[in-house]
Amino acid sequence: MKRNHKHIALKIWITAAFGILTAGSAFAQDASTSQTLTLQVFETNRIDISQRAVTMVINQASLETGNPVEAVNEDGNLTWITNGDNKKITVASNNSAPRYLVKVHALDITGSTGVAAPEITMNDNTTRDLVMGVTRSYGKCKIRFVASAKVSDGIGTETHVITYTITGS
Amino acid sequence: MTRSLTTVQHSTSSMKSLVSLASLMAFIGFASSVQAQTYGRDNNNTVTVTVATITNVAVSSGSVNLTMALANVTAGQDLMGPVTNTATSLLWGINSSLKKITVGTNLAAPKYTLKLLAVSPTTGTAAAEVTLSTTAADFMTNVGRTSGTCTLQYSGYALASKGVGSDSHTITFTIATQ
Repeated sequence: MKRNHKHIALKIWITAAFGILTAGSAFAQDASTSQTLTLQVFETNRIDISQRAVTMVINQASLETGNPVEAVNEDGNLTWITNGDNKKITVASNNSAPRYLVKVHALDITGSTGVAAPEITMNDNTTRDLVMGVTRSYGKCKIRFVASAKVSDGIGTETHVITYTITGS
Repeated sequence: MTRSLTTVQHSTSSMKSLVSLASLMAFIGFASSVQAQTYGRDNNNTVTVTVATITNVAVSSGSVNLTMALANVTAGQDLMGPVTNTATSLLWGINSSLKKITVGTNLAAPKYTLKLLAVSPTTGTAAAEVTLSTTAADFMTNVGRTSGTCTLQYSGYALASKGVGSDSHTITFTIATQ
């Protein structure tokens, strides 16, 4: 009996090995499967300013006129991206009646689209155009602030919260 | 994922022969076909085992969605993204020679860029991240006589200049000879 079983086991192994080899080569096949993927891109607008706090100090006077010399700051960079059409960038201050004069201008625009508006005087809290003609693009510009005061304005401090918005034109 | 074709015919057998047969089945690891014949008085068995080629591949889910969100966007650059999805897996079973898995999409002119990477494969070698196109590209290599799985990591990118919209891909994974 034991001898028979050994003989049978040997046959099994040989047959199995032969079966694996022949089946593997004779019926080799490729297989495939599929998956559906949807990539959606909605309108996205993003704008950012590098310099969150800007301090401007007027502490000199003109020797010729006696008027205070304006302070200038160009440290801030404004960056944006939009994949929408016909956009513009606006600027507004929260200060509705400023004592001193602050002007803002977009300088050195780089990127695919966008044209700077003329220098803006921030004499109230009205929203004004800063960059126009922005369509499906990204960009960057310097923000130039000019602050000035008259002698009659006296001394003091005032704060503006400046808001930049990318919006439909 | 694994197909089993098992047929066992025998008239008489001892416990030892059953144990031997079970050991063989375990060794083979894949589906098998077993036939046995008995030689009357000698009480002998002839067992023929045939293992067919098994080449299977499947995805854990048939659909994937990627949506570009504000969090994936940086101001000042044209490229938006990536937005990623790792919610689905690829599963395969192969009992023949060394294979590879390729991937391709049916979308000939996508508006946005879609990339795919095999993450944490249990067997085989993951290829570098593939930018999907209609030309099948290697996704996994050195896959042979194994069953395995990997996470599908999709990454979507868009240029702001491409505007809004959506791409619909049918992505096909194929096991092919390496």
